[in-house]
Amino acid sequence: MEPEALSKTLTSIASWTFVIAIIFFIAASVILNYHWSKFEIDKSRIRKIQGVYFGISGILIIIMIGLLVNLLK
Amino acid sequence: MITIHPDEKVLAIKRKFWLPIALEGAGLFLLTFAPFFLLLITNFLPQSTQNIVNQFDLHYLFFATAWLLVIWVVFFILWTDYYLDIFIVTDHRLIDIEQIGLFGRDVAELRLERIQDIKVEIIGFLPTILRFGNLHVQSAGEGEEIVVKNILHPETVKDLISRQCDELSKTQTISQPPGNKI
Repeated sequence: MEPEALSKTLTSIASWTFVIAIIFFIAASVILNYHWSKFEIDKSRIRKIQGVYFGISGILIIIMIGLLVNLLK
Repeated sequence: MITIHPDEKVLAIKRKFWLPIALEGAGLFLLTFAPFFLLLITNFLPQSTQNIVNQFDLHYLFFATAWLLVIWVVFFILWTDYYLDIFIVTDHRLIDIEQIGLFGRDVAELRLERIQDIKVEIIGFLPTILRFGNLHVQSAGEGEEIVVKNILHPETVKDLISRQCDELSKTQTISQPPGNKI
């Protein structure tokens, strides 16, 4: 396979991977957040956990968006 | 959601021992490095193959980041499964909550006056050294048993429940009116 064609295929796979990863992230986050809010006894601790979870996830998603934009250029 | 009654006092809240979740976390931590390990391996490939890999470094970085995101979410799913397993001892009852994956939750409750037998089970090298094990609480009803798995210092919890059962039976004996003598 020519590098140009391979690059196009990989970029297409990357786009779909991004969509699937985001759907998985949103679904998992909604369920996790529901469990944390409803069943955790210590609310202040769970706020810290939510901060760490969404903070790191946000950074990873921003990196993914940046890379995907570069790939699609 | 657990409702603790106003006249009820929480004596202990116990979670499962951290070792099993730590081992799962360590496994995921190793998986986190898989893409970077693969990148290191490419250094030992022929120069022509390395050139092809270098051409697609942005693609590689993208897939590695997606991999990290998935591992990160999976870790929190495992952690939530561990963290929401709680065993609560109050002065009136025992509450055992077990989170089963993301879509299952098992809540068992046993009133102290119905407890018939308590058994501690510490089996194996690591549980003996680190003092964690299973706690079996048998109720007066046939076949009703609460099993709390992998809690730290189960014998301390057993003593606490036994003490509370004794206090409860003393209180009930004192408050019971004398029966009719035949």
